[in-house]
Amino acid sequence: MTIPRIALVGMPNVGKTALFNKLTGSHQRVANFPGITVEKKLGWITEKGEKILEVIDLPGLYSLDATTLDEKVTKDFLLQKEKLQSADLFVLVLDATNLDKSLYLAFQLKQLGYPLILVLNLIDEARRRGLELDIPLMEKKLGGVIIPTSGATGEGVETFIHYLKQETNRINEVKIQLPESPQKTFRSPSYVNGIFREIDKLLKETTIKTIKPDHLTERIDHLVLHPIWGSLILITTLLTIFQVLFAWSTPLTEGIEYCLELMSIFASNHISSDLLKSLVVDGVISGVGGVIVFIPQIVLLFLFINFLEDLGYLGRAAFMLDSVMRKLGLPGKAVIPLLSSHACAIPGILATRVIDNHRERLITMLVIPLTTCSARLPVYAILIAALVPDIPVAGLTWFRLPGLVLFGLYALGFCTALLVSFIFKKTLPFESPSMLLMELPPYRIPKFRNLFLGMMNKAKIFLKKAGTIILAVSLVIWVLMTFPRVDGVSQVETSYAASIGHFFEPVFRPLGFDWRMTTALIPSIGAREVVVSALSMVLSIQEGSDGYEQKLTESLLTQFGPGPLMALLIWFVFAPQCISTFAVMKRETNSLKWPLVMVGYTLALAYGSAFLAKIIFSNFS
Amino acid sequence: MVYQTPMDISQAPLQLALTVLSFEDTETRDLTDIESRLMHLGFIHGSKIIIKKKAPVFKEPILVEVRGRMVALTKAEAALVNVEVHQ
Repeated sequence: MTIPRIALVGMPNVGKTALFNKLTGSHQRVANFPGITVEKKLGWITEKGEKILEVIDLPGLYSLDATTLDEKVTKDFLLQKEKLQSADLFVLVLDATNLDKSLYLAFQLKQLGYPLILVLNLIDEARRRGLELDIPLMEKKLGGVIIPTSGATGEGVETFIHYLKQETNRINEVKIQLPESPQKTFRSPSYVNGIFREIDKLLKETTIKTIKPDHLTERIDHLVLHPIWGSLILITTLLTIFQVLFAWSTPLTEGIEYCLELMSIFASNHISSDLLKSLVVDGVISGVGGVIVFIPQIVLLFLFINFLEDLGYLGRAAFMLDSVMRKLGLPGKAVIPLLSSHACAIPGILATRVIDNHRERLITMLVIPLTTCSARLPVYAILIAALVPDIPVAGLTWFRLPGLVLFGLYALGFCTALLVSFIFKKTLPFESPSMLLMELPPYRIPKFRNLFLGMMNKAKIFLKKAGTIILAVSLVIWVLMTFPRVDGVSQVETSYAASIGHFFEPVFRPLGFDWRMTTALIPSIGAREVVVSALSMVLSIQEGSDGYEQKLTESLLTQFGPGPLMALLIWFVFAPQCISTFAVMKRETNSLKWPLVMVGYTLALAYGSAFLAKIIFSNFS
Repeated sequence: MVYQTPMDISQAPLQLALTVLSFEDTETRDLTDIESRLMHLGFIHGSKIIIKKKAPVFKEPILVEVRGRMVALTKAEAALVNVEVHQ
């Protein structure tokens, strides 16, 4: 039996999602609308453990003259473009603290002939600020039902659910009357002005006591948007995000790694067959580990981002940075994903959700793999140690050449990201106009429940959609590294991976890579840092043995030479050497096309630059 | 101080009540997406607005109070809306 579907409609910043969370609790699921990147939030109202009503939280929209992809989704729902993509009942969520703006949609829907079910959300805050309304009179004038609620305290939610249950029992098909040319009408100034005048008239008649202005928000903004204090707050916030990703998540990540190690040891001790042991330890456990190791960073980052968003600060940060970022071809909000991606591209790509414009979100996602993530550090460390002499720069004992080179690699990645975003900005087709036109909502204290639900949804999506791809690829890599076995033993030299390495050697010969280097690149598709142990494997250096690092760096230089080694270093600056990035981008763009574009251009960039590096540095010694 | 009227938001003074002049029905052209969004946010003929702040760097975005909400606009967006000082 299909249960009735209720759609929540409303402008951005009316507390719609908080209300949705209050209605559905943990019974919710986030997916994408088919074919596009707009998030679809579905939830269920339950009674005695049984789902009785389905609730869909539609993207916020300002008017039926939809200009963005998100707005179009909601508009199509409302105008019943397709039967399946619609709802049995539409509920319009209003912001009681600002009826001036939020009644706009109510009048639009009324004109179309919808029976109005209005939820007067944030009523607690409005009342606190002294608002008194003649609700029965307003219901009469509008010809609808008004239910005051608060997504924060839960006030009115029971009444609302009770009303929904009654109402869905006698659903009548709504016949909506569209104007002759809807788009033209919705966009005509006289039509818009007419609605504004109706709102003003209605509010004049039904307001008993007007709401006091939000002086608190104004006072906070005085500080937060101040040239000096505001910049300090901004820098502190950005540094905290960095800390969250690099430092705070470390104990959790290490804890997970510790548990995995215990499991590996347990498996090693209890499985007698070598092959099965290898499958469990090197295949399954390390594959699963490769997925869940991202969870602490994702969870913490989103706890923090959702906190800033619900607080109202995210928009302020964008306000402070927008002009600078826009000169570089990206919107102000892109600073958060770009910063996060210096820890790891996975949370970075997920964080692009904060960017409203789809084209700008896509461009940010496409350039994120160029920023220097922490998985590159062990690779850089070993290659720099092999290539760069540890000498002081400009006679300063504390400022040494390897450090300068490492900084250069960071700068190379970041500057290339900006350059590429500039190129994409000029070449990618327009979907929707690039605009800032952003509302800065009043400051509100975030509710932990909403932060928690948002964070859980992120983690769930990652595990389900990206996790499966990452795990599958890890298993394939295990097979390639393990088979075929010679005399019951796995040897890198004779593995399928080595055969593939040999096969691709001619392709990489211009870069100076021999089959050992190309073979070492294969397992590092799973995770960049693995290339270090893969290189020691192909060079037959026992990992963790005495003077391991010294032996490895010396051997790297003598076996491969400075040119190819430098080419390898530059390769790792640009190459899409990370299946998780691909998987997460596929899930976030809801397509195969964009991750392939990313792989294509980064491969070309890596190949070209590595080739140049090889030529330039081959004559060094 | 005398302000030239009409002017657009990007040139208008801060903290002064302004009246919006833009966006009236015309036969000659349709409004663009950005103009439509501006209009729906309340930038429409007769609306009262106040320019609250400009961002520290490059003096943009510009923060404007309109119909009870705070809206941030780039200079280019602000230049689409004509205003005069409210009498």
